[in-house]
Amino acid sequence: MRQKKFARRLTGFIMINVGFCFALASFLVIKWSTDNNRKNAIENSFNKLDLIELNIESQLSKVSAVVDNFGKTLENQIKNGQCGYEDFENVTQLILQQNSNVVGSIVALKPYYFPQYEYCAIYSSYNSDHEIETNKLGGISYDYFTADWYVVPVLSGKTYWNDPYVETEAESIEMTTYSYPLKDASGEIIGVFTADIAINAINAFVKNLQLYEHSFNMLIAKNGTFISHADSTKLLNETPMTEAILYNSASMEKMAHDAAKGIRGYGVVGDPHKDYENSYFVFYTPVPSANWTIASLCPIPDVFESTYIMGNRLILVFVIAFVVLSALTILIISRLASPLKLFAKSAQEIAEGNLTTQLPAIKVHDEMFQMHESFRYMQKSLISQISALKTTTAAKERVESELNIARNIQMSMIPKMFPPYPERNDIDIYAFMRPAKEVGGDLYDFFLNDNKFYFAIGDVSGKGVPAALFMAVSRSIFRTFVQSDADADFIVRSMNAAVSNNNDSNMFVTLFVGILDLKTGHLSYCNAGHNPPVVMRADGSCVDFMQIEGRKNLPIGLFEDAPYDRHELTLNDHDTLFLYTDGLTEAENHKAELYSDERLLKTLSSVGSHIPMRDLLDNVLADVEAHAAGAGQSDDLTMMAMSFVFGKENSLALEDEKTLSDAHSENYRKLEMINNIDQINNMAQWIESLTDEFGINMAQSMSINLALEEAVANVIMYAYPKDGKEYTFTLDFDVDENRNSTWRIVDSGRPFNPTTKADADTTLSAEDRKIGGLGILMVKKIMDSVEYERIHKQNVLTMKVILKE
Amino acid sequence: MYKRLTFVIMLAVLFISGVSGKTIRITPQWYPQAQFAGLYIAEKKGFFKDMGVDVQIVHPSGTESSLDMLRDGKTDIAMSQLIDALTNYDSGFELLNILQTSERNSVLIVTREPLDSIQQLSGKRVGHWKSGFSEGAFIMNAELGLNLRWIPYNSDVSIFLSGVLDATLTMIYNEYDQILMSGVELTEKNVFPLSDYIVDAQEDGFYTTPEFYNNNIDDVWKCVTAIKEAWEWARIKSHRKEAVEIVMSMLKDFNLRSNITHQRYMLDKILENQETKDGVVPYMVDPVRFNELVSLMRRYGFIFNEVDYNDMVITLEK
Repeated sequence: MRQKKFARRLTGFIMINVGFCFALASFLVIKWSTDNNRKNAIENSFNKLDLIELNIESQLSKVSAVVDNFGKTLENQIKNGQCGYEDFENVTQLILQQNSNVVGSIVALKPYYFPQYEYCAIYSSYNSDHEIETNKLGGISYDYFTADWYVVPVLSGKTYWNDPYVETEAESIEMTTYSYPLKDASGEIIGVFTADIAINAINAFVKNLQLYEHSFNMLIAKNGTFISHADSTKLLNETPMTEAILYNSASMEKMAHDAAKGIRGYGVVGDPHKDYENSYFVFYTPVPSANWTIASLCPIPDVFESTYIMGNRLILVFVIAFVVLSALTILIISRLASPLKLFAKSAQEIAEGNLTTQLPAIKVHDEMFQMHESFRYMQKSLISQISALKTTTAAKERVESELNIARNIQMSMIPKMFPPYPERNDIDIYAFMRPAKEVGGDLYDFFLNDNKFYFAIGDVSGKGVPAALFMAVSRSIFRTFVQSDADADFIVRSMNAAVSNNNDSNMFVTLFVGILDLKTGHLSYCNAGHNPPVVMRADGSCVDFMQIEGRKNLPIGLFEDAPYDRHELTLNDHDTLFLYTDGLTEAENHKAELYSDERLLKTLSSVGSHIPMRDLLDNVLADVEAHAAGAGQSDDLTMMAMSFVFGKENSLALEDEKTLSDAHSENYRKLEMINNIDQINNMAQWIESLTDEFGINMAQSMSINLALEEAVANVIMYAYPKDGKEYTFTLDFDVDENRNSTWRIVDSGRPFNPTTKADADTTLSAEDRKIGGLGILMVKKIMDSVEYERIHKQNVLTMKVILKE
Repeated sequence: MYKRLTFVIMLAVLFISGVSGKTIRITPQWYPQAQFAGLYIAEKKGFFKDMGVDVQIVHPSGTESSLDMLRDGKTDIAMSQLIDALTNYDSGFELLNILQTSERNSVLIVTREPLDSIQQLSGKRVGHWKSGFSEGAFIMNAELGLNLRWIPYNSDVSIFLSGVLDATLTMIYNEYDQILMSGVELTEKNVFPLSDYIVDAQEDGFYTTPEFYNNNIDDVWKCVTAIKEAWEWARIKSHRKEAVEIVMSMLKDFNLRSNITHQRYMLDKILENQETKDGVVPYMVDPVRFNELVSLMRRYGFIFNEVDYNDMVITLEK
């Protein structure tokens, strides 16, 4: 269907253009033909009119010649004084005898030419027996002195054809008279000699010689009346002017004016645009000898018949050609474009994964073949690229997998159990490392050996696997030397020597190694080119970077025999030492602004040192992330904070002195659980049973379930080592008569007091809130009280809430 | 005075005696044409009959004018131009104008070449009607001293169209239109109204003899009334077409050739010339212009005697 629409649409566009071109061409051809035809018609019409005019002139001249001859003869006789009444009679009879077309002749003399006659007109004509009869005319009843055939030649001295007239109305014979002025010896006009002819022969010729099938001719007298006309009622009656007024025709009026002036011309009668069938060309030319005009009225359809026929044929041919061309075009385009559908189908199959689908065969080497070749190339390319992609993806997945393993290995190399020494409450230490890539080049480590706390933080030059490998080497070397009870500078020198040796990659490590005497607070350290830690005095007197006087040590790994100095510092109880790598202070935001040392100090100052180290790092991390505002991490970020109470040894005795309360009511219920997340369902069922037994409000029951789920999940997920072993813990319940309920979780996992986590700031977004704070917040919101105790190496989390019914 | 008394007595007699039952002959000036439409309409549309008078329209021959026929007793009432009537009256033929239809002069002098003034025609050939109606132009010729060479012609304008004349007299309702219908183009400089140079002499009127009048006062009044009513009927635009058809039928009856366009034009012009410039149709001879015309005619010898308006003109009132 789509292809057909395309073919139809394309055909439509093509045919519109073709149609336009055809129409324009046809219009131009018809117009040129019409113009040419018009020109030819005018020329042809005038040629024919000229023939008619010549014929009329010929017929008139035959008569005029005869009359002129007779007239001259008479004049000679008059001049010689040899012309009497009988001579005039004879000449009028003779002219009739010798010229069959002359039907009457007169010699009309001036007054008193013959003294006895005022009027003397000798007239010969045929009587009813067709015999020539001569009479003398003239008098009040026949005052020829006022007749035009007499007056005009007498006044002008020239021959004269008068305007046709009807001799007798009864016979309706149109006549015209040719007058020849007779002069005497002195040149004075003494009368006129005339010949009358019937102009029926002229009329017949005028009528018969049609220019076109339906055209008709008109002979017009000097006074404008029609001498010859297809409508006999108009003869000697109507004129072109009366016709022009009657039919409101400007062309007829022009013809009337031109005829009066003896001008040749043509015009259009009627409106071809409004009424083509009844519009005419009128051609006219003068007949000079008689001052007449011969005209021909030709229907325009006749004149342009050939053009009309040609135009109709042209239009018919155009229409047929247009239809055939349209059909053929649709057919051809459909056939040519048929592979497109197949190509579309092939493209769909390829997109769906069938890369080896068969493409439509194209035999002709045109654009379709090019498309076919392009598709084939695309297909091959896709197959090749997908195969390469699969290989690459597999390799990448392998690399990612190995990287993940490497990360896990790296992470396993650094301490990540916090608190690392749960049995000791004089050491609060927390560390955080986040590599920029899967594995990083930062390291931190610490080791407790007989009241000496060894710690180190370092930053391998570069990032990624190379730095991670170097970090692993460095860490291993650190561990090796810290167990030898060496001084900090010795440890650093030794690490330098080991790292510098065979350091073909020329990598180096900035390193800070410290040894803290947990009894005295004396810190001995060696800073090998690392960012100076921040010392936060517990009394708030100082939050500043550790100042190093004297020579600054180089990072390790550069020169095997580089010197390293050691420095001393004394820490007091609850003083905090904050160590970090430059990934912290050089963390960038989108504007490439660094987090900066100043901001670090400011943050540490505002947070203060009297908070758990975990919270301290969480605060700093939150501030760094706030600064970065989503910008990518460009360097490994590591922080380690530590705070001590010096001189305090094993303080677990305090813990051991506490006992777990065994006082229960008859409502006491207990659930044994193991560290498996599936236990949550058991817990839910147990809570449900308690809900039914003690009539707990359903909504509250669900809330309590939610809080306990959070607390229990915490135990399951974090309290015990991930060693695959099952560890048990308990959840118990009790309620008094006032419906004060107590819910208690007792586990023997690592020490963890969830209540020390700062409540999550729910006004912050999830991204901004410290991780883990939301769960305890919810528990605190649901329960009326939440308390933690560490009793006999057990975590006891006690939650209380008044039950609603 | 005498005439007035006679009129009253005869009127009374006729009124008492009723319709005379006699056929009244009325003769127009020329062959049938729209100039005399009122007569034909009065006959065809029954205006004469409605008035109870029997009328026969008798046309003049080519050799005898309408007034000749009146004088010779060949007709009872004849149409004539006022100048013609005055000429006849002066020569002793007592005429009575019983009805004046023409109010304004119709003569135009049409020149072959455009002229700046009529004086440029001085000494030139000017065609005129042999059969009459040219006296006004003759008076103008004498008044202006143009010394025109008058060439008489019969009827149509062929002589003028042939080019042998420098000008011709035409009636605005007839020959002037014939010239235009021939295709000749005329400008203001080709056309000179006679009334621009002499008194605006009234033309067509109906005349009878005193004897006939006195013996047929009532019938005469009826004829006059019918003719006036006929002209008023024709004046109504919606009747114009029928009026022309009546004229054309008369032409056909007389085997005369003409065309509707020309007859329609003639009728329109005749009706126009019956009205004053204010559109009023007086149907009477204006005494002031009458006296002025008489004076002119006497001055140039066309008439020799004084003609009293009241002697020649009767105003018929019922």
